Amino acid sequence: MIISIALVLFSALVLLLLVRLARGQYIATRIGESPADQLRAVDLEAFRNLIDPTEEEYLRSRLPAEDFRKVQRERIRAAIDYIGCTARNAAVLLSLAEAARHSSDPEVAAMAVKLIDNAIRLRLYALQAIPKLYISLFLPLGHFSHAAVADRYEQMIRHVVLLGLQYPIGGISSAL
Amino acid sequence: MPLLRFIWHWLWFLRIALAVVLSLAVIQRRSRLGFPVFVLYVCWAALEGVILISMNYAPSFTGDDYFIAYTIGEAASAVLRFAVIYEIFQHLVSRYPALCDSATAYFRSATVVLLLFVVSLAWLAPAAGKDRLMSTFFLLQRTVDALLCGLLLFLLAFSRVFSLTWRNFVVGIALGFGVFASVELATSTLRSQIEPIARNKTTDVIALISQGGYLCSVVVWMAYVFMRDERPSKDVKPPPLQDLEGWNRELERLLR
Repeated sequence: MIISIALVLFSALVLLLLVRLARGQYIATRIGESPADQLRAVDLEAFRNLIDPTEEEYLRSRLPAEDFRKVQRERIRAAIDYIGCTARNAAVLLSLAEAARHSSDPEVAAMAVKLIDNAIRLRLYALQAIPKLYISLFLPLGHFSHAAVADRYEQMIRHVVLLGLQYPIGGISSAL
Repeated sequence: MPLLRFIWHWLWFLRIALAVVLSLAVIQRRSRLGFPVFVLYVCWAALEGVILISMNYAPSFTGDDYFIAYTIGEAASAVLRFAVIYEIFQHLVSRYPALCDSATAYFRSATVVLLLFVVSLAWLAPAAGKDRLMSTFFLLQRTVDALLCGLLLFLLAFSRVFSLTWRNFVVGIALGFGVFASVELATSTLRSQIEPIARNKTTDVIALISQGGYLCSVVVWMAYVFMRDERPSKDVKPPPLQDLEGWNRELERLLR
């Protein structure tokens, strides 16, 4: 009987989510917030430093094992925050690029497509990296290279800048 | 004829009439709408309805003939429904080349996991009604509908994670299937557990809800087919002013 009740509730949940999608609430940007307000600043240099394997090796050689594990956990938590932040920013820029994609100017449309491509790749990477990082908080899984996130993010900023020179996208640059 | 069954029959007639109108409309607009599998599904649903309603009133067909035709029709419809879900998924990801390969892998994995899950559910909560044949039929229907709902939920979650844009018509197709599959899932779940030998008021009410759900989904599809607006459902307007100073600062920062 519990399974039957759970299935009936599940069917109601699916219906509710689809109705929300149809009403435009599901994936619409939050009302009253401009894309620039939704972006969070990411210090790429600090992030690069955080994921630098030589930095990790240096800490490992200098600190006692117990202290290193504590510091490493903090570094992993910070990396999760950074990657989460870049992924959120990528989602905001994706929405913006979607609007620019339909521009009558072919250069703007092409730049928007490149930005969409980068934003999607970054979110795909974040989707794979964040669970691995959470697992590595508890299990020593070895070193993961997350330099791709920083590179992809930098490339995305470049596309935003180039897009912004040709298309009105407001105060995004300062927010990034 | 009791009132509930009378209403059920009228909803059935209305649903088939609307399905015929809808199939003519989608055939007429098929090149503009795209979605050939959805067009095929709508036409099949209309044809199935017309055949079943004819068999119901033609004296040469027995109850067994009707049940066989109904089962074959439902099996074909179920296959087409999954094909439409895959068509929606293909449409969603086709606009994002960076996503295509990974998305297909995610979709396949989700389908396998959901399939294992719904089969486990069928094993854990088997048919329990007094009418064994119909209870088993509703159990199969429940399994198919749970898989359909699960795939729709996957599509929603996937598009949420990657902030994908849904075209209005795609929202309409998904919403229609959502209404249909969720109502069918709830009703078939109940009927697989309580189906009696002879119909009673409870089964009549459940059948009425099921028929109403199907009718609602046809109405939803009609509304979206006749809607002319083709804008994406997520409409993002860029801010009006160009922040050149900000962009220049950003360029200088990158060029350093």
